[in-house]
Amino acid sequence: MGYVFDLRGVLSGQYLDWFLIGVATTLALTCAAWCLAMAMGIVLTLIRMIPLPPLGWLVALYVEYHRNVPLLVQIFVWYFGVPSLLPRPARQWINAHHGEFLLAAIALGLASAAYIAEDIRSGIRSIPKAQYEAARSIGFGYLGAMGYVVLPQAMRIAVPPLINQTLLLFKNTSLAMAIGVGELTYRTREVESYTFKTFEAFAVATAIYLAISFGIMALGAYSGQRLKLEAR
Amino acid sequence: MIRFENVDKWFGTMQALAGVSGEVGRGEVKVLVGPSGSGKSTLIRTVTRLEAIQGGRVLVDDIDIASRKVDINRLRQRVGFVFQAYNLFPHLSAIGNITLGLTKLRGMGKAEARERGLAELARVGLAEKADEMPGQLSGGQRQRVAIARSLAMDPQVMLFDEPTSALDPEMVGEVLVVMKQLAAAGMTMICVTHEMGFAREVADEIWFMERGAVLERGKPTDLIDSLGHPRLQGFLRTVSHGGDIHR
Ligand SMILES: Nc1ncnc2c1ncn2[C@@H]1O[C@H](COP(=O)(O)OP(=O)(O)OP(=O)(O)O)[C@@H](O)[C@H]1O
Ligand SMILES: [Mg+2]
Repeated sequence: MGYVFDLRGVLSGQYLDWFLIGVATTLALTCAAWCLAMAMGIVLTLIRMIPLPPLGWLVALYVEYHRNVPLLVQIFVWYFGVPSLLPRPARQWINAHHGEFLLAAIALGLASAAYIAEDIRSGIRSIPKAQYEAARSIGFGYLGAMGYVVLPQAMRIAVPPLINQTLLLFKNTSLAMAIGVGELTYRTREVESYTFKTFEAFAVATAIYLAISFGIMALGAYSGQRLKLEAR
Repeated sequence: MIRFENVDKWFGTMQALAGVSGEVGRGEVKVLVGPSGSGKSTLIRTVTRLEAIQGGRVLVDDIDIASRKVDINRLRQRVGFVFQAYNLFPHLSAIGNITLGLTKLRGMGKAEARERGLAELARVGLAEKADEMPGQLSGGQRQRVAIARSLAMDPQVMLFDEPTSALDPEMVGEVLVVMKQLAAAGMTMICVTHEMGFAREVADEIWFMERGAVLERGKPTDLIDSLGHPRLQGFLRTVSHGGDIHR
């Protein structure tokens, strides 16, 4: 007898719930890591623009570490390494509050920030120095000129590469299953091992990942379009 | 109001300003002319410390702008600077360019800032363009928005660095009109420009610069009408015959 492809088995009852919880967790992890990545990316960029060489080296070190060490290792460092350095009450707090989710978000966010900082930096480089100078001439300080004039323009230019980073970040959340975060891949494994419907389970997961990826791309195309219109 | 005392400026081993001295009184209009590379831009850029100087002093209201007591960002609000290339912020509308400083630096409310911005736009004849993006405006309109942006900060001095030399000839007039109105209203101004008609009409004094020094200075009528230095006469001939020497 041939193999019968049957989605009903994995898309009903508690298994459907598991998928939905998985999707929600994946999205939450993506959002949390993304916010951290953007904030950290902007901070790294601003630090790098301060004309003090040691600060520049620190940022370069940060970027190189996060780009050259496997992401899974970075996640393990946060999950196994960092808590062991913390005092006991902090460790207990982490364990009581879904520590694995928090630490995975931190690891993913910080790694993504390294790439985002590079994207923003090349965006900033493409803004003529005269823009910065004009802002300073009105009376803005360094931060005001960067924050209100240079960065808003640089971010528009950086939209396409940032969408790319968002997609990568979204896909990389699946690595968090390695430390027990109940995101989509983790839940898929669970469904699979309960139902033995391996192919169906991963077909569903694949479809969900694809759908969300396309969603992110569409959102990116839309915001890129809008920013372009605004800037004209 | 502004005093240059033996100002020296070096770019590496190249001396861009060599002992420039001079004074601009309240309400006066000085026009700087001179060949390309003579240091005109550099001189006015020293007034707001867009260029740091290596020797001498620049004083605004009798205060050395290099002194530690000077809050440079405050000083820059009081000294407007208009660039040759306008340097409008392309991501903000005309009114947005003007209100940015009002809301973020002056702490004005949005409505009040908009009202003030509209008043400034009206002053340069562009009230109806308030919500256009810079990319939709002509060069002359952009430069007038840039002037309005400076004026909104209530400057006591306006510095102009060749405000019309990037413009098509038919747009030069509309910018000069605005500058003449400003001068008539008693604004203290230093203008780098080769528009001799403008200089003749509003300048209290013309400074002719060459190789980082002020070679000659005097009333427009005296300098332009052949009493000046032979070098200046030669220069003025190139300006009037060849059109704008910067193009
Ligand atoms: N940032 C800089 N770095 C190095 N040299 C510079 C810099 N800015 C200006 N210079 C040099 O300083 C000299 C004076 O320049 P400046 O721009 O003040 O001349 P200018 O009279 O305004 O000329 P133009 O009419 O072409 O605008 C020139 O030789 C120029 O090459
Ligand atoms: Mg110049």
